[in-house]
Amino acid sequence: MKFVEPMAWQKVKEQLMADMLSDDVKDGDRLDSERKMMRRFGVTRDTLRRAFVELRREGLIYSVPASGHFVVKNKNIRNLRDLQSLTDWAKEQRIVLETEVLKQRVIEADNEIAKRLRLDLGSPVFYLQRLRMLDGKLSLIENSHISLSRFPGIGSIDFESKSLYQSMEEMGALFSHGEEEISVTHLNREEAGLFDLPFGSPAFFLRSVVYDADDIPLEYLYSVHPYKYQSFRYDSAEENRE
Amino acid sequence: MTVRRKTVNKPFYLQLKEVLQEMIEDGTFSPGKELPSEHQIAERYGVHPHTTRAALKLLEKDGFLQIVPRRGAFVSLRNYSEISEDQGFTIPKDKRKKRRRTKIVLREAGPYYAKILRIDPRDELYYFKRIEGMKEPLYLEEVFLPVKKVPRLSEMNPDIFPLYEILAQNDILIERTSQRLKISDASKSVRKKLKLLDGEVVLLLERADFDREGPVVFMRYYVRSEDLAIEVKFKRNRINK
Repeated sequence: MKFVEPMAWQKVKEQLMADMLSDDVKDGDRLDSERKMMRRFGVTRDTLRRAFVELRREGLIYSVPASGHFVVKNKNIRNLRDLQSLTDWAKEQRIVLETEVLKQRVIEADNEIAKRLRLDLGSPVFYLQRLRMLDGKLSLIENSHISLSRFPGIGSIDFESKSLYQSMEEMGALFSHGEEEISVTHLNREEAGLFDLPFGSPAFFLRSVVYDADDIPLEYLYSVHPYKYQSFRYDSAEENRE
Repeated sequence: MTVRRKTVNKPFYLQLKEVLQEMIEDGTFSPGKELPSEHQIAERYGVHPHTTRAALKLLEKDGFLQIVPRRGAFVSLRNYSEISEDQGFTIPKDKRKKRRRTKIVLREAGPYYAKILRIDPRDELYYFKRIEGMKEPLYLEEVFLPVKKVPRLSEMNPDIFPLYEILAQNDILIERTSQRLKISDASKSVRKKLKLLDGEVVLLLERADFDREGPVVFMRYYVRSEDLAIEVKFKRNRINK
């Protein structure tokens, strides 16, 4: 087996990543000046910049011309493990969550909705589109679909002040498990406008269905999250945390 | 009138399957070992190679074997791990197997991987990188595994067996997996390997697996995002208020 030596820029990158793991390094901290780092690592400016390019790509730092390189930490991290509602998650993270309802109406189940909610084509479905602001910043757009025959009263609730899950639970829903698909989308004009980002920017596209214990689909949700400052985590250890 | 009773025997392929299964279970064919070829087996039992193939397929279906086309049939490794590859963020896999040969190299852990894997920065790591996908690449996998965890990795044939089975075979039982998913720009080399267009982003999945004592292995996946979704199953385990 061959022994390989990482490239000089790789070593710099890994050292900086190791530094940033430390709790002493906070979000927004400025890294040492390039001159100082060149001395520290004994590398050329080109090598150093290569390391910065790579760190930037992965969203670990951002750079401001003529100002320096800054650490990105504390991304919005959501654990997908435990079906925690956004409301509860925000509360736990001490993040202020505000909701704006964009659309709220009854629609007919199209092929996709019918399949996900296991309904007949054309069944009445409650559709709710919400903008979610975290600490004052628009962070995601959620599109919920709920069978109207399973939750007849759902159309008359004010979802700017009330949580959807809570309302559904009050109507007897017992959330048990779910599945989610995560892929990448590109913001369309409407979304780009709402997020104030360039048209076509990449974003997370999440699609999930949650079920009750009898495996009956309760909600079909898809949501769009701009990717900067957003990541998802999954830790099996948290299953046993109670 | 005499009625001759015809004894109905099990079909040959089922009988053969049971014979081979027994040899796997009693250790005649040990975990990781390659079985004789279809023809050799057929000859030995005087059956048609098709019969052998059917028996092997069935053994594979029951988890006793891994069949790699044009390479052979390998006895499955033990798998006691509670955590499998499929836990957490799962990348839909191309189930077809191929005769790849992964090049494994050694490197020093360095400060970052030492911290993540809780080892000495001067400890040696196996490092390998491979593309998954058949015609089109689906994702690029990078693996960082301390040498001391699996001293004889190459003998365990990481091309054929999933890593967690190799670990189980080395008495390392993965009990916990911790994963992080984000969107990342792709470097030139990743773009080239995944055949991405300029500006196309990837889903970057980082995963650390732990046994009772601590971290065992660190993996990084660069996933083509245009035509692939990552899946995750979740269940409720606490009461939301």
